[in-house]
Amino acid sequence: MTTSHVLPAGTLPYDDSPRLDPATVARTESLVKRYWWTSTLFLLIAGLLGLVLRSYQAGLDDLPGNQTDAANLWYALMTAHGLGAFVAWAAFFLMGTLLWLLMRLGFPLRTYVFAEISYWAMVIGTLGIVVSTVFLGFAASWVALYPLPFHSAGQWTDTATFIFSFSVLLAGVSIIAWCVALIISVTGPAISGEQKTGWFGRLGLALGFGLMWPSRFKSDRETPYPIIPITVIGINMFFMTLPFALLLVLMIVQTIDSGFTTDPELAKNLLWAFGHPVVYLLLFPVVAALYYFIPRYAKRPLVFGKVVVLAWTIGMLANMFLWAHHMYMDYPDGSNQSFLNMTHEPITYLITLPSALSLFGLGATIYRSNFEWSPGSMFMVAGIIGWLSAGFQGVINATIQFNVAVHNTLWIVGHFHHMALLAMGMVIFGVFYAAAPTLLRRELHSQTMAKIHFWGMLIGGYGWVVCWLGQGLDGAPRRYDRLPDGFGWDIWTKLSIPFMLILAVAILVGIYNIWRTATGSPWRVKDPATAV
Amino acid sequence: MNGTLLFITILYTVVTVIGVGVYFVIIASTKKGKAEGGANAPIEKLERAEPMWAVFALVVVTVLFVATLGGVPWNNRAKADSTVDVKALQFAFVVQPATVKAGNVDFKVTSADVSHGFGLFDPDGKMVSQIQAVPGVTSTLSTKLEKAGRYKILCFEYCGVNHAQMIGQIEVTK
Ligand SMILES: [Cu+2]
Ligand SMILES: [Cu+2]
Repeated sequence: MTTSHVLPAGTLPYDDSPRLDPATVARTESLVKRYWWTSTLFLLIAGLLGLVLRSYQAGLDDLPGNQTDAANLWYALMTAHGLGAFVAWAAFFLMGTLLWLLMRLGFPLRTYVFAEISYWAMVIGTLGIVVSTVFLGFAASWVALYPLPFHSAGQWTDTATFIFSFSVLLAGVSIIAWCVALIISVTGPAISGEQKTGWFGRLGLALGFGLMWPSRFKSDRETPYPIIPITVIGINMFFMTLPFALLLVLMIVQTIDSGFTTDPELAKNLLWAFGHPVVYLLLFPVVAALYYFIPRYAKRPLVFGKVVVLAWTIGMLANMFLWAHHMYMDYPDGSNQSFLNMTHEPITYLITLPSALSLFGLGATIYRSNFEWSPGSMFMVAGIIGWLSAGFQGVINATIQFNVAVHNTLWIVGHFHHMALLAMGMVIFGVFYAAAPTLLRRELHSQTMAKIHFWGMLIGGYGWVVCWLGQGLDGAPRRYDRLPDGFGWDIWTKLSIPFMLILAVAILVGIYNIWRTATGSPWRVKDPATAV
Repeated sequence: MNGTLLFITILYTVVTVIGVGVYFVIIASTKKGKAEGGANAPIEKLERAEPMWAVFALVVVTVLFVATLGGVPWNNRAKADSTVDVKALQFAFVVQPATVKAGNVDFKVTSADVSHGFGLFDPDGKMVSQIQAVPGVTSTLSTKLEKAGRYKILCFEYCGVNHAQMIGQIEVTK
């Protein structure tokens, strides 16, 4: 192959990324690839655990030991699966991807220290989570359900609780370090150009205020839309990881001094203050990726006005005061929790605004465009539809009257798998297909495998999720290793197994395709963005 | 399936079919878009519609908020005909009295150790209502029990290894 200055077909279409320094590109790309491959390895492990969990519920496999040992192992695997799939795969993959997106948008990392801390803290934290759950039997679920870690009914020790808490704390350190890296990058000189602007002014620009008030927030360059959700999640997670970190520290202290205890309701509030925003650690980067790629596939700028900027600011503020929608069923006599629950219901509704406007603007961008359909764009549009259909479930869950009926049922499990895999996971794979040729400088190994991956995930995924939704609407509770007889719930579990297998095969085909692409022979061409 | 769950099923299905339907129209429109080279999309019109769309979304959630206020459990309690004390512990429910007359029944729920959930199912296996059992404090769940028979109590918050076996019961008579 000859050296040319233009990448061949299959690379990122219609790229208008600014001229980049080749050394920066090389360094960022190697860092991002590290995030990508490590998180994909975690997906394989977490996915395998998921298969074991659902098959056990269906009575298809057994876990070692007597009934009690098997049950505790099941709950331990559930704990590992939740953190593994959500944080160590999806969030971790997207955290890496955003570093790449930032670079492509002309906001490369200004220091690599925080990104390196973030990477290693997540890797070590994930290994610690595996050790404490799979090997030491810690099984209090990812939300810890304080004080459950200290009432293990003889199933795990305080040492296991210590290792678990410390490991999750490391994952928290990873998230905070990453937020710092993002904020430093978007508030750098690139956001305002030659205009003299203070740090807060540049932060305002990164939040898109220049699009609303161009005379107040001056810049040589219009803030690219993807920068807005990136900045929002950087700010949100920097602050909202702290309450959970505090709870983990309190738990660590209790493993050392058993007389030191925390109020269970306070603990639950601290956990959920992080537990809701962390969902957006997946969603907002996904939205940033959609803002970046969809206009490139549609060959036109995003169809957005100014309201979307305002919606993001509202969303950012709302995200910090809505956690109590996970605690609607907590209203002890004489406590203030019911008041908090009541106020967090309308605030939760407000966060539908950035979603509603994004779904509108993305749809408007695609509408009657000369849209390029390829594996990347197919996965992304399927992800948008997943976001829409799972988002409506979110509105139902946020409504107190409905929450009474669905709280802690398998409907919720269906909802977050729908959101995590069929909305955000679809976009994650879409990002891979869209970015891989540019990032890896290699052509996609197989278009056919990409199609199998796509349709398998769609058919298997929706069949699998609908079984949980139906089961939950039938009243079946979540977090049961095996559901009780006499309610007719098992039929749903059995029905979901073939769909789950289709889904698993599809994802394996996808990962194989990715691996073959990465190990194929590279193009000997330059990325136009770095060619001088 | 109880009434609320049935309502959710219908509401969700209708809204999702409409929303996904709109997206299918958008996807189909790219065929025409390709033929036209993307030249005829009503971009300005769509851009101008953004504020209207935001207002519409706000109106929908406001209506939802107001319409469901009546279903907020702690705001809507009928005067109880009888009261039942429920103590949850790893891994059982202690229910007193074990039999109660049909009518408005308040459950005073507490936990002796970790968080549990009190999930009440009627004799036909349909969920009636639920509340969290918080350690050390009492929470009151007001219910209207009309059917006579044996109600089951399922633990509705994961509480440890035998959580799935933590099933209690209460007898309701006419
Ligand atoms: Cu939430
Ligand atoms: Cu339980």
